[in-house]
Amino acid sequence: MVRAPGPDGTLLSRRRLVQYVGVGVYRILPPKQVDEWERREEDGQLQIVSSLRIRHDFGTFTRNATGDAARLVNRIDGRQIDLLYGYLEGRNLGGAVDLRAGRQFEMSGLDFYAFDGGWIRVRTPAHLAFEAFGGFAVDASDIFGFPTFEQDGTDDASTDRITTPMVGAAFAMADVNFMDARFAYRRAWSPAAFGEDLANPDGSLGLPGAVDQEFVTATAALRLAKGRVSPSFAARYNLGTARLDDTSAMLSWTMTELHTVRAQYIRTIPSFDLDSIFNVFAIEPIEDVRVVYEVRPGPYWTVYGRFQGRIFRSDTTAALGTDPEHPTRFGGGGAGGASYRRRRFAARADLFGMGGEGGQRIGGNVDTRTHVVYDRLALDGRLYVVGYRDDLVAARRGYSVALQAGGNLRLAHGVYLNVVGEQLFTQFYSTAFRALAMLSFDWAVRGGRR
Amino acid sequence: MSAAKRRLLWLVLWACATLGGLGLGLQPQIGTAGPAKARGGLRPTAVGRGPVFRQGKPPRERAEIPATIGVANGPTMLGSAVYPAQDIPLRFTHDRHLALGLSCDRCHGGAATSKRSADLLIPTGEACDECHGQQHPRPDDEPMRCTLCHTQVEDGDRLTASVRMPRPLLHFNHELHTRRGSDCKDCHDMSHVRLGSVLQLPSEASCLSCHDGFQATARCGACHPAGSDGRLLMRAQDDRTLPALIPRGASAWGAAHDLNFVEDHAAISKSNGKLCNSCHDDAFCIDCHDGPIRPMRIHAGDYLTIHAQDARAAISDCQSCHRTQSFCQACHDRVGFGDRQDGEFGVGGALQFHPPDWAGPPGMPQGHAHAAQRNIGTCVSCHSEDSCLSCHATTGAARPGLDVSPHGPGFARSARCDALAGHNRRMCLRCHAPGDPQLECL
Repeated sequence: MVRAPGPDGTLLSRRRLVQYVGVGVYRILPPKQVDEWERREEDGQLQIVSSLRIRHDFGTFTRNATGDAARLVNRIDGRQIDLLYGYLEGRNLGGAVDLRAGRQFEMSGLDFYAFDGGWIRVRTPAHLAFEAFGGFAVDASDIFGFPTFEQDGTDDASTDRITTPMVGAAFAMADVNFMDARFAYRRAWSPAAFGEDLANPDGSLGLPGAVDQEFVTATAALRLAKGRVSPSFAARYNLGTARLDDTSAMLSWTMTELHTVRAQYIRTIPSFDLDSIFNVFAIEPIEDVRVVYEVRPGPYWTVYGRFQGRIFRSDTTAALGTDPEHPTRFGGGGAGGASYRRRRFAARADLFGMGGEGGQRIGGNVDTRTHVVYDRLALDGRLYVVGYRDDLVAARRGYSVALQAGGNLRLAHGVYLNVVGEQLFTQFYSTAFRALAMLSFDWAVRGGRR
Repeated sequence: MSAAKRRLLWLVLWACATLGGLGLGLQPQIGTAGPAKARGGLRPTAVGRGPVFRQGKPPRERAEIPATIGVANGPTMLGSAVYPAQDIPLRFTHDRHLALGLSCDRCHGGAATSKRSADLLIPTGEACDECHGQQHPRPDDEPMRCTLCHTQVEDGDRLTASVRMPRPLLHFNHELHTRRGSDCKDCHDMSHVRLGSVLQLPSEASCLSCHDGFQATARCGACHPAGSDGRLLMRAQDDRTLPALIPRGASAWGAAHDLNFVEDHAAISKSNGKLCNSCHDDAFCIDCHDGPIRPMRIHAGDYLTIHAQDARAAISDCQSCHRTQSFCQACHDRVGFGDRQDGEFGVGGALQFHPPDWAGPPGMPQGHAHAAQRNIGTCVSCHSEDSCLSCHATTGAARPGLDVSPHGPGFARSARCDALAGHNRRMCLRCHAPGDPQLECL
């Protein structure tokens, strides 16, 4: 249930049913030799994988929505069929080629996108691999489209509805033990030929052509001292906004089998479809420094400490002449926790506090899982407590306590039932309950000669 | 039912799921033989070697750390993904046998020529009979001495449990290693060992002392079974009830799945996606980012109330799962937080979302400007471009505004201006009228 603000405080119910249908055909190519049971990896292989999602919200959240809210809400939670992915994949064909054809997506952290098209990678003996890919970006307004990976910032504008071709290329180090590195380029654009029937903001027909995204990305990761020291680096340069909008550096150091340290520096600037004016307003980067130390003091225990520091900056705007109260704002906090793992019982507890931009939060949690009957039944119990205070609006402060109980049951081979219920206590609700249940079937059948 | 009773009921349910379960979970596994009830300690060792457990202590098979993934992950069985749990209901002391001068191959004769990890290399009862007298089978005139070695015997002659030693999920060729000069003790430290268990099997760290890419291959798939797609099999037969292969320890190459991995994995995947891809396919990512798995640690408790703070602080990248202009704005519009005319917070609405001095005509304090500079993602979750155009567009534009420039000093002559205008002039025309001299980066 979600409470709508206003004098009547209407409660909007959410009752979502989501079905995922994943179908795969694996090991399409037969073994090369008649005496082999299955084709060896080095001989190459083909497979087809797909995932279809059917979803609908039966509650009043979508049913009673009106106006723009109805349009948007129904796109997210209304009855809809999404093809998340569905492609033919070839691996190690001819000992050097990997490829995919169909609906696919890239989720490397530096870049999120889904497209209908093809991707190919060729590995050379010189420890270099070359990639090329191209197709059409997936848009939520397309049939079987889904919004999760579409470009953000211009929802439902005519520039959002135009068909967007996309191409890219990359080269990477391949099969080098101590280092991975990749350099990639990607461009998505909307040609004028696809926008002849679409209206400009002034009402005239025919959108001019424009570039929607253009990035170059570089990543590198080293494995030193037999993998115990791993520095890595990633950066994305946005050619459309002429700046580095995503940079991260990391060092992971495993001092001993029991002691590990990880340090991360992340610098990001929000970026959108180049059709969006939001790119103009996003000026300052958000910087984030994280250090985590973890140790195993005993056979059953793992303990960690965490520091997180955040830097926000403000600039003086030329026309308004507004000076920021604090040109640089620091925020940060820390966390500590422990896990305890026995043969049939595991628990973890955390305490955390965070301040700075957004406000202050302090809280903790306890999570447990008990294997009551091995490979059949496990019980979960969780407790989440948080107190918060907003830094903009004084009235936004409070606490919440959530108790969760759940079970994980294997009903039969490949048939699982997971349920979890949560009772929430806050100063805003006298009671609030939510439940999540999932029934999954995971079956495979064998066809063909063997 | 009153609210107080409901709360009490929930407390009882939660206590059953945790504290009640704790009692069940701490009981030793039924049928586990040997020293499983003993308590053990772990002592740190030099870099490059795995943890060494004290003599005779139980294997460290553990349940999975909970709550990283809320549901969808079924219960898991004992053991690690590499060495499944064993039952060895025997009484035996390696230490004593070695002290007698026995060599390894006296009992493990097949080891030197074994080519598969599935080969059963422990001695049979007949092999023991060579020294301990004929018992397998026992001649009629020999007394029964079952309990000399077997620990689970009823009525003096009925074994109630036998050795269960599932094959390790590894590719391993003993013959290849011995041919290259490896000695048994290079991998199996049997000094001060009684029974011998998975603890005497080599750890990944000790394997990598030779498999460093120079002396021997460091390719993961050389030892770990991989699927037809080349990725390492995280679970045997992809069975969710079995333990998962999770990189931990000194050889995790920066991808150790520690207690903060969920919070920090984004930067790891950015810089070393290839490492992630050695075990996970793309579908694995989408399972959490847009799929059936609901990570409880990310959206714990009353996240609906607290999420605004997270978004403003950019604690996590909301856009990795949600588009602000569709997902966020849809919900905000639905519950009345948007700036639409029919919303409670819209223009002329009864409620005020932003603090005073947030926005106003030119000359007034403009608190919103710096919030937008820092993290416009939060603005975009409620506002569309039209909200900005009402002030920032020039007066002659398609949607006229108040001609208030949001550009910082020196923008007109900057490379950024050239890049924005050169790539997408449609965006410039949202604020500027055609023919506006400010359309040119001069």
